Amino acid sequence: MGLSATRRYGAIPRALAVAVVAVPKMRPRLELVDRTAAVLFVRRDTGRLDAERLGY
Amino acid sequence: MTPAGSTLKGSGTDLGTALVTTVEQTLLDLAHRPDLGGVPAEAAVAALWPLADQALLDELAAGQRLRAAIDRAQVWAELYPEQLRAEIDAANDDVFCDVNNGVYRAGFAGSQDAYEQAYHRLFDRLDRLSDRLESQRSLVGDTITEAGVRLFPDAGPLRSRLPRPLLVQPGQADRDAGVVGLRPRPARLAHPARPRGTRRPAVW
Repeated sequence: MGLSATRRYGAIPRALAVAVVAVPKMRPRLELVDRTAAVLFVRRDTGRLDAERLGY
Repeated sequence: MTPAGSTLKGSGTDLGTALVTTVEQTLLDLAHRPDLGGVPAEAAVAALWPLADQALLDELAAGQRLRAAIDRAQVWAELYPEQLRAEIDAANDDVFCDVNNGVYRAGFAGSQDAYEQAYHRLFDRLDRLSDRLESQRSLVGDTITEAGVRLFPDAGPLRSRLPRPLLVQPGQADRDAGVVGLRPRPARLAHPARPRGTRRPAVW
């Protein structure tokens, strides 16, 4: 969702050191150990999100 | 559910498939929480807006109570009109390199020469922007655009929030010199008075 989906659609021109993932239950931000980057988890009602399965 | 005719391309990796929010849902999410992830979402929203199915957007917004997000997204989309994008991008590059970064380049200069170069570059750019704004209402086009929005944070309201070493204002460096270690403004950097009574933005 958010920035990560935007990147997937090519609307953000460069890779960012942050990923945004929608999750049904809150969980803390995850910092990667092998690079300066983070995964942000956003609590959402994932069943109501309009999403589709796409190949990466 | 991506609209037919979509021209956006994803980055190909070998990670397999994943559930990705649709263009419309993504647009709503970005407009709802534009600061999430620390990257300004305005330009991304403007890029996604023409690809979104308006009916689906309205339906999702109604179901998720995000009507305000649509209104916000619409404003941002209008800040980056397609016919002015090349000109806006060029103005953004100038503002980003010479103004937004210029303040820091001068504030954190490690030598007198570097400071003078940064100072010249910053105020030369400001002079050119001022000259442009003397003949037209907005940096690009007739109404406010993303270029103006990007200049705005360095053009007044944030002055009080800037760290003192970054107030690279004519005369300011002289006053700050010795207090924060800034080198005095070179005497030859005195700028002429602005024509027609306009004032240089007292921000830097």
